[in-house]
Amino acid sequence: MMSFIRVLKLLFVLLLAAPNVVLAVECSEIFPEGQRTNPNLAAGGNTLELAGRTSPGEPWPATGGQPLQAGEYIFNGRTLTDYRLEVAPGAEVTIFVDGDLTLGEDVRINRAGEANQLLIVVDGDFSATPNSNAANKRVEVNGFIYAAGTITLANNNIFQGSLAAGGTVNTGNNTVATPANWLDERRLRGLCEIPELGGLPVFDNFESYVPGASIDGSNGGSGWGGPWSGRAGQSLVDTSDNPLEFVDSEGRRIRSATTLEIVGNDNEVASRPLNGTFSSDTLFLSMLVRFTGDPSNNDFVGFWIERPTFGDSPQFGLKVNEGGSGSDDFFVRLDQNADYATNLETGRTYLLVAQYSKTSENFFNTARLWVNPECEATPPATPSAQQSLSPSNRVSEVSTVGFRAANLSGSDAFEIGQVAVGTRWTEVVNCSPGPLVEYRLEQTGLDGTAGEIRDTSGNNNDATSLGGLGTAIDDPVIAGNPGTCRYGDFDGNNDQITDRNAGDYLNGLEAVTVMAWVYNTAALDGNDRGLFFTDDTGSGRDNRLGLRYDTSGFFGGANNVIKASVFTDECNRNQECLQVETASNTMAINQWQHLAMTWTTDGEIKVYINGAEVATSGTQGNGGTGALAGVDRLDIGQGAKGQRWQGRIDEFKVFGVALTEAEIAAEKDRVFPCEAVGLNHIRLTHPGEGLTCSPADITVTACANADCSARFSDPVTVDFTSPAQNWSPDPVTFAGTTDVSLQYTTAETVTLNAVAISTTANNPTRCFDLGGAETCAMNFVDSGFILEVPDQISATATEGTIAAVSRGGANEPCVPGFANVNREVAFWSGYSDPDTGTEAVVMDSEAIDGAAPGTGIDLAFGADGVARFELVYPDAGRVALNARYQGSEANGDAGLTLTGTDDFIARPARFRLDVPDNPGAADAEGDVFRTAGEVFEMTVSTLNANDQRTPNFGRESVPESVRLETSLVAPTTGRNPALSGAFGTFGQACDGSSADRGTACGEFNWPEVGIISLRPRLESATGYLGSADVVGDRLDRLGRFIPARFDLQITETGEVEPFCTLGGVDFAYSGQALGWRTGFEPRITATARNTGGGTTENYTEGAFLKLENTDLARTAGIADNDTVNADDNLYPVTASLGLMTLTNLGAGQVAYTFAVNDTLIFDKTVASRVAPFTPDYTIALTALEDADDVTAAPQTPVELNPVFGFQLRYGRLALENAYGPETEDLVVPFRVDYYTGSDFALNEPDSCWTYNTATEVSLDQTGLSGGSTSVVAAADNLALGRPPAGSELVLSAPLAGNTGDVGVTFTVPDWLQGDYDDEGTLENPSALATFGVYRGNDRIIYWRER
Amino acid sequence: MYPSPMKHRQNGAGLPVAIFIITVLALLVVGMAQLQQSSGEAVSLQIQSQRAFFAAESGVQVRLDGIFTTLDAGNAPSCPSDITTFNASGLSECSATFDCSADPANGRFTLASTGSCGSGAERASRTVEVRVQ
Repeated sequence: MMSFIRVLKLLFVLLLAAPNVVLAVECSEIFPEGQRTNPNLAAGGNTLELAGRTSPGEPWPATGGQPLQAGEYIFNGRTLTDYRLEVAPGAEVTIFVDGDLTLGEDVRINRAGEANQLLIVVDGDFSATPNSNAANKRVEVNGFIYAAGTITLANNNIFQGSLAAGGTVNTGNNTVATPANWLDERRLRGLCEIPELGGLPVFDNFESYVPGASIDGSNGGSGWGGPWSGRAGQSLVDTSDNPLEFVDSEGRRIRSATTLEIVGNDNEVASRPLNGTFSSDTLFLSMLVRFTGDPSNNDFVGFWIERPTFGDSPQFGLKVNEGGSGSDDFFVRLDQNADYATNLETGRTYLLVAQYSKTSENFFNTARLWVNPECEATPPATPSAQQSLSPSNRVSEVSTVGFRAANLSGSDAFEIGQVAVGTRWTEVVNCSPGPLVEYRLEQTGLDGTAGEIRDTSGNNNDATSLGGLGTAIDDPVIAGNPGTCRYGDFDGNNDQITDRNAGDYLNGLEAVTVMAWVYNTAALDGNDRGLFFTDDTGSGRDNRLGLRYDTSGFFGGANNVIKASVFTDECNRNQECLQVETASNTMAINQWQHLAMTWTTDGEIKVYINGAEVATSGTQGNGGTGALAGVDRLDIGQGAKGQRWQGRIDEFKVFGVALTEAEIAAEKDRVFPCEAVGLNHIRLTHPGEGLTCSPADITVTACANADCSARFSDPVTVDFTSPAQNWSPDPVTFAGTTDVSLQYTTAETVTLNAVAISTTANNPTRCFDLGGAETCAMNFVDSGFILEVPDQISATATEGTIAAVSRGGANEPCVPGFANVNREVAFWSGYSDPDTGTEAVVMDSEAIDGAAPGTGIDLAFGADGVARFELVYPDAGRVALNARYQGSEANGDAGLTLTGTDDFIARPARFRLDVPDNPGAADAEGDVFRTAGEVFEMTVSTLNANDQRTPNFGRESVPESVRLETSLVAPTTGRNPALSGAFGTFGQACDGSSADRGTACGEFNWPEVGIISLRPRLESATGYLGSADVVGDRLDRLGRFIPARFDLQITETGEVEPFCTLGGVDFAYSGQALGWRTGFEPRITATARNTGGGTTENYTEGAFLKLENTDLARTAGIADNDTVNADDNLYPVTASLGLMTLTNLGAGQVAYTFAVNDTLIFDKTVASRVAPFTPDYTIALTALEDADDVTAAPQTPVELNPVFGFQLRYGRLALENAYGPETEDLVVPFRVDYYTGSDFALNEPDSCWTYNTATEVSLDQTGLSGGSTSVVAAADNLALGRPPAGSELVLSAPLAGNTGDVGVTFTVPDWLQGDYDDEGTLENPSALATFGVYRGNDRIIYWRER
Repeated sequence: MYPSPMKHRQNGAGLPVAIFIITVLALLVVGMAQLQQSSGEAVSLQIQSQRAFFAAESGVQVRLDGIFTTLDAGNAPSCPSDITTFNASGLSECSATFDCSADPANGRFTLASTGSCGSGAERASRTVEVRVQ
């Protein structure tokens, strides 16, 4: 009996246990966040439980097929080659592989999607075998891949995501790239264990509470187990006037306008329970904080978990000055011992993030703290502070969190803007997006170079100025530093800022905010000047995203309004979409005004002026829902009417969300440190020694930074203060740098000084001598050498002069010292700029030393006291030449010491360009070089007159560089946009490795089609080191550039003409050959694009157009998309498409138009007898490929769905039997029926069919007893489905006595035939016409009732 | 002394009158009910009779075609088989039986079709006679 009970117990236990298969591994251990390879999971028993999950497998889908929709798939293990597989946008796909998976050559999986969309679980080994960097051979995969066995990637394959394996993981020479977003570990549910999250995440930003009260009892936020408990010392405060705001380096931000302010001290000043007990291994916490008041030692506010008292639990927060033993103020700790980071600034907002982990223990023994981390999806690798120890008080579970404050006093206040606790970084660090674009307009010296208007949003959406736009700083919106600094100064004529690629980030948005500070200086009358617009302004319509002044509001009827407009993919391209106008008199003149507009996919535009929303009085268009579209570019300083902005624009920003009024107001007031706007210091460069009888040349430079690598660009007036006299000119006004002379007539050392008087320099004046030593002391002597060495071309013999002079008397000019004598003078050179070098100066064919005492050179001094010498310097740069003569007994001048110094600049003779693989095509038939916008490398060499490289070029203190002048070779009349790119550092190859000095490599691209020539020139407009310009050898032909791809756009979807529109219902009959409505043939525009998505307008110039009218491949559908036949097959369609017409639209666009004689036949068979339907038919545009193999992939195939504005009806002619006397004409009734789905009914709308009974009706008169009949001719259209009165089918009377049946057959088009006899074939309608009076049956003798 | 048993002589005609009226009314009611019933039966029988006529006509028309065919072939037709049921709902529970007499000498043939509908008291039958050559 006992054993029976035991068996029962055992069965019971087994039954209970069976559903709870123990999954040993926690899911978080398979793909730990941030870890891109995770090998040898099997060793720790951490493998996924795959039993029953990977079979039965199916074959892999065909290459390049439909993207996989969300869900789980099981595929067989195999080797894939030449294979493409994509994942539907946004879909989460898991692929289980039954067996080994090997990726061979040219496999791309999920290249278009995010890595975290695709999880591949291989029940075997996973390998990628190609070892090739060729784009058509290597494997490219975005995804998270788990293999039960090993993972082996050969070199050069490109993976993004993370790789985890039971065995080894070998990634070859490429590391796995970090994905944008990490895999949600819940995707592994069922394969591993997901621990109970213990009521996490929780979040509260206090914004839902009413400020001014204690937080006690407040129950907002998300995920919590109950309301806050609050004690004395805290309250909720309104900080909307001065919100807490954290902004990371890319502009992503967290703001708080309602905050929890802690001013009193309590271990549990505020605390709140979780909705459960957290017991897992890792925990993230964050808080947004700001401290105001007086931070004094050990002012403390800690965010604790589970236990509030000192040292009892992991805590992080503020502990001023490390409690008194240091300077850092933020702490993290597990018990009493803390680690610290960051010296607090009062009034500044900080984002503090902590992570507590259990490492090999069942309690938290590791703590990390990040102060102001980047808002990425993963934590920065290095925390700001961390602790790892076995704490004296251990915490392993968390059910409550809270704040402890201590030592706060006086005005001390600790504001907490939000708190979050979660198991993932992203649950506690969740920032609002920063701007997509932010043009602060801080740049100076704008000259139209591509990308010169810097985008400070971090998104690299740099723009370019046009029309000679300048920037100024005289009257910024918010003065000072930090402030709004420089602003753009638009002349109202042709100044503009443009980003041709703005469509890439604006099209497709479902919300947008655009804002800027503007300052209008033009009269309001007739002022339609614009802040920005996003397409060509040729149409003059506001049917794109834009914002402008509008002097005469049209839709609202107001005057001097601000007009905002959008265009979306649900609007008609050639119509107005959605635009609003403000009330009257919102335009301003001669004052700064902050303009902002927002739009959301709900179809609402709001306008904000100076941070406040304003009402709009006129709204046009009822569209505006959907996604932003039609953005071709971003033009700032221009409106829809084409009128340019006159005045100033600053702080132009675009956000991909609709900001709130408060957020716009905050953006309006945002300031930043001004870069290089101040005059850093005045720098004097002097020769160190001068002659009392000769003026000395001194260079004055206005420096914008400490090392003077940037010059202050605005004009500066400098007054020379020491020595007080004898400067010429004094004061001097210049921009950048200039030379002045100083004649000092006393032999002594003077200290030079100068002061800027037009602008205040931020730092004292600095002086340097020609040798580079920082000294303001300049020694004047009575006698010495005057050296004159002209600036020269490198390696060109140049004559220099040296004169020994001495002072003739007070204020007298110099008199020669040597005359008609030969003397040996020691010369040595010094590298001045750059300050090192490899080449020696050659004087009179002798290389001289680079340092004192120098090389003796015999010189013949003539009667005028001047000796001449020949100097050659094979390198580039500024070089000092020093001369020294020491008298001797032999020369009778013992004790005489003469010194002199001068410097000269040697510039390169020319530049030479070298572009690998450039075929140098001469015309449109020439070989292809690159696609437009595709990067190519170019090397420039700086050469001296002997064609040797000048190794010092590019190493100057303000490095010189080479720019390129582009001119268009072919097509002759085309766009000639600037070449994008710049040369890198001299002495470096493009890959960053060291290369020959005197050469630089650059990665360039040219965004157009054609052939260009390039001339290298010195970048600096003021000449090499201020001496003279250098022009290089022209590269005569670079090209041919071809488009990167085509974009297809269906500009006319095509409209099929119905057969009949005269009745109430438009229709056509099945079986009819349908054609296009005239003027509504389908039309497809192909736009040639560069890699960046811009239009290559030159493509349509002459022979550069490589498209033929046959190059657009089409596949016409063979059946309707929806409707099925009586035999359950899709309704068959026979299409006959003629040759398309190719039209060159110019500006990079061509149009393909379908032929007017195309026919579509919805086949009529017996089986196609179905109820009337509106056709849904597709013609696929499968490929477009020009003679250079440029295609429209990956856009193709594009589906063209022509409009069918009518019903397709199955019709047939119904012909009825008729009888009548033989002496009268007989009407044979007929009509047109259509099939309603259950039976045939009169097709009343048909007033269109034209018939002619004379030719279409045939008679069989063999049944007639005599005489004959014939059809009375009638030709007409049907009326309401029947022949109109007078046009019936009439048979003439065969006259008396001629009786009998006449067979009548109406020959109709096949679309009016029917299967009248139910034999399965369509035939013409027929009927009997009987002539004569009926007289009974002769065979019946009588018939009576009995 | 005792009261005279005939002190108040009983007299009056109320009761007989009442009994008479009740009897007459009852007879009237029974009579009218019977009248109603026989009228309904007559209508019903008339309808059945009409249906029987149609059954007889239909029988002739159905069989005559075959008889013509036989006559055309020069043969003497035999009497066609009865039609025990009609498919049409209007002739449900109807049948047609045939009586024939042939005159082979001159090729004439007399067909008498008796249509019958209903059963029992409801049964009606009509006969149609056709002579053909």
